[in-house]
Amino acid sequence: MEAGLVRVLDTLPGMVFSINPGGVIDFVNRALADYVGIQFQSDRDWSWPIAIERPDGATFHSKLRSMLQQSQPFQMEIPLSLPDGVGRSLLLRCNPMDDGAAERRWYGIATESTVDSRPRDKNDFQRIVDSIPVPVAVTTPSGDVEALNNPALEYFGRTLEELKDWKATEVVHPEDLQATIEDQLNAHLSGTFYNVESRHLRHDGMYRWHNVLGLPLRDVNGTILRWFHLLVDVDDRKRAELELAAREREARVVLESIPAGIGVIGIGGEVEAINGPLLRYYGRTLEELRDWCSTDVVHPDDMPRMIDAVDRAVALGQPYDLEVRLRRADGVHHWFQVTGSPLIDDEGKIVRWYALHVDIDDRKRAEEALAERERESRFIVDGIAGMIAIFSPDAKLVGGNQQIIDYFQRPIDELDNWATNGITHPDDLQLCIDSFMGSIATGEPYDYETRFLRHDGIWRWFQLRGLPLRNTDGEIIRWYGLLTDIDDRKRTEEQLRRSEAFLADAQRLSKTGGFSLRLETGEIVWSAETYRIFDVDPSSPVTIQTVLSRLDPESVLKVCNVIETARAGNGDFDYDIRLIMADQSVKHVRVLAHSKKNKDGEQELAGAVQDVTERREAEEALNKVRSELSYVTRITSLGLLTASIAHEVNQPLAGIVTNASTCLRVLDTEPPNLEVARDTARRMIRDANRAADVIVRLRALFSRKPPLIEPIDMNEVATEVIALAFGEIQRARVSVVSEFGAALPSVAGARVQLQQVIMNLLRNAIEATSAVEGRPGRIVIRTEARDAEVRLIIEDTGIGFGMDGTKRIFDAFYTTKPDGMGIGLSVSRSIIESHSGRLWAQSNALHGATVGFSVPIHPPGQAETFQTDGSVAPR
Amino acid sequence: MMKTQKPLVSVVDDDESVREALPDLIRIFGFDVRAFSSADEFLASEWLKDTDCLVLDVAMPGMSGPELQEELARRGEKIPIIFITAHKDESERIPLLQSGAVDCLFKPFSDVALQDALDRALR
Repeated sequence: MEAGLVRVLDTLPGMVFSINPGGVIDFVNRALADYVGIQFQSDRDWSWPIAIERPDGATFHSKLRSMLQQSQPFQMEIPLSLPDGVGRSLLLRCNPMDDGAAERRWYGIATESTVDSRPRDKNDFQRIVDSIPVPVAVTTPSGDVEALNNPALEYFGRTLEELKDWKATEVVHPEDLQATIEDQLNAHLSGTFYNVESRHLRHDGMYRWHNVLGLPLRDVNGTILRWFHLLVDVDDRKRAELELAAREREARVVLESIPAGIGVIGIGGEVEAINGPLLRYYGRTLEELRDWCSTDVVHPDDMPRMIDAVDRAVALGQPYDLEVRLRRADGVHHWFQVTGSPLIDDEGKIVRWYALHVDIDDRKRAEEALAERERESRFIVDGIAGMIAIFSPDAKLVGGNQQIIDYFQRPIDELDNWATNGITHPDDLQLCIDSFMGSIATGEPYDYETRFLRHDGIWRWFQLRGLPLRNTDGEIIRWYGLLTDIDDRKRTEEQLRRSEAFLADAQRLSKTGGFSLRLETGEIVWSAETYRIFDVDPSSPVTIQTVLSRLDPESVLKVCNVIETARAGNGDFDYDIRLIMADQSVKHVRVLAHSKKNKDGEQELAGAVQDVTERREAEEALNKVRSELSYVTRITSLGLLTASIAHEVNQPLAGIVTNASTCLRVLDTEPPNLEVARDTARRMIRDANRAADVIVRLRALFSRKPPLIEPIDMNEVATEVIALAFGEIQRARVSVVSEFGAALPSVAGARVQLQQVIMNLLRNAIEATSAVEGRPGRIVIRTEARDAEVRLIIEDTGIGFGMDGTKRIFDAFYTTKPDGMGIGLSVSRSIIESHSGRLWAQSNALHGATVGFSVPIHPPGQAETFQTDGSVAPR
Repeated sequence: MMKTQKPLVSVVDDDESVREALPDLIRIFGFDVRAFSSADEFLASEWLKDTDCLVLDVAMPGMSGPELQEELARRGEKIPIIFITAHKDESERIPLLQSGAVDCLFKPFSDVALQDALDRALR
């Protein structure tokens, strides 16, 4: 371009430029160069400082080239980025000029755009935006901040200048910055509004969520001049949403990861959804499970219950909860707790059901095992022969077995007040409290005895033993108490204690001691009294030698014999021994023992020893007195029997005299009848012997010689007595009838003594009978064998014993006879008892009395014994 | 058995010695003799009616001598009775004599006393 034209153009008060069809600017006058701040040099390319960050800037060149391809004048706005940093736009108006040259040129003028981004009236604009109650930012199309309202300045706590460089600062949260820029750029490019949610740094350093609404301000041509950005604080909502979203995510994770099944069921009963764990458990697809009623996922035994529960829940709108067995993919059934709850909308309508399936198989089996153990425990506890009480660690009674209920017949709650409700014996209460509460405090087991009141009002003794049950940490979680009824044992113990005391007293008082001898080992055990009897130090051991050294020679043989016999087998022993004491005094000891095998299978001789020294001495004295008395009674009887004796003697004498007379007479005849003489002589000898026998018996009866113990025929001695008393019987004019038993066994006795007894009884009967007038006197003498004894009974029709005679007739010196001594029956009884027999008397129903005695039979094969002291040894 | 011409003396005594001794002696006196061990045996005997004299023991088991005397009297049998007894008791003898007995001899008695009594009874 020519220099003159250039000067003209530079002088024009407007901005002029030329441009070739390729868009290359080949001339810019001074005004334009000054405006844009880029000087024009003809040898250098000049280009517009386009604000490419603005949407229209990025597309400027393509638009310009498009316009230049046409031959029509055009205008277009060009966004500029000028050195002052303020975004401006120039409105370019271009016209083509064809000057015949090969290339068309375009000439244009540039004017500032009428719609400048900068407010014409800054105060008005500021008032408008400040009136908006939310932060508002105004930016250029290229995004530079032009203005901020007061709420924005207050929110950010920064100046406008500080906020112009918002992209480089952290006023927008770093995580949201890129998205914010991209959204703004896209909105600008598309020319539409944008709406983004991002965090902005408040003046206090806190980021808060805002819903940012970007609205473009356009000129009449639709060109975006500015962007208005409204920041609505949505922090609370956003955080709530985020939290909800987080929860939902978490819920989804939970639903898929929890070890429980969840099913979603529509109101029609169809399965809408099932979570993963439940699907995996069943090993089926959702489709396969939609109609669950027709599948086998529920155990056949539980299916009816399941259907019923679901149907009822759906009908009533109430949750359901039941335990059923569900079939696992491998065919194994597990117990599940299925809980169904309805989801209800705002209007109260059920929209669906959620069913939670929790695998409780382990719990169920544990419960079953526990129940089984409890049944077993209950069975055991109820089967225990005692009462069980279960206490909490703080001593509260929390349970008990059936026995404790049965005993008290009160509920457990009442029994818990055992210290105050009267079931514990008052005398034992303090002991119970001290013992029980002491254990509760220390944790040590307790063991004591007390009395408890049974439901029927009876106190019974119990032993109470308690143990604490501890958990793995060693803490006491229960106390278990066993109450054992020891009442019988207690009473037995008391009886035993008393019995032992009695026995000790009895042994001491009766001078009876116990002993045992283990025959195999020779071990001897003595009671205290035995030590006293033998006068041996109780602390010294007892041996066979200890025993034998104390005995007289005869007793040594006796004891050795007994030991040998006992060693051979079981048997009973009853024998007397004599001890020679240290002072040479003699003790008479009776021994009663038996030998048998003890519980250990050893042969043992056990028994009792009784010091009978005093008794023996008394017996000897008594025997002596009795002997004297017996003799006296016999002598007394002698006078009374004189007539009978004479009768007995006169009978054979009569025979002798008569025979002698006959003999003499036949000898005097011629020839003498020798045959008759011999007969008479033989009869005389016989009768003389008979008379002699009478004398012998009389002498035996009235002698003082010790009686001979021999086998006695009771019928024989009775016959002899009747014979002796015959004269008396005749004089009394009473009939005596003998009813003797046949083949009586012998008795062991002293003939003379038994005759004395029979004679005494018979004479009493004769006298009693003869005293009665008006009825015939009759005496029956009966003998009989009964059991192991022989009885002789004399029954008369006499005057009897009177009112109380039966009781007293055996008393010494009691008599109903004017001339009686009153000693006959007492002596008779003494004699019979010395034969181990029994003498009795009783009044007859009609007339008279019956007196009898019994003596044991003589054991077959037993040799006769002779008692030098006159007594008869008891068998 | 037929009764002889000799007077018949019956002896009633429970004592065997007497029953054996007396008959031999009484036969020497020239009488027939029958011996009985009890009153009942005598009463039941066919010799009761033929007895001319009765030697009767006082004390016997069962019916005694005096009781037999009473029984005979009750039957109208007037047999002379000589009582014999081993109880030498005069107080018993007198009532027997008063009851009509020929005599009452105490055992042992002499052959003369017996013969005298028999003579008196059979006189």
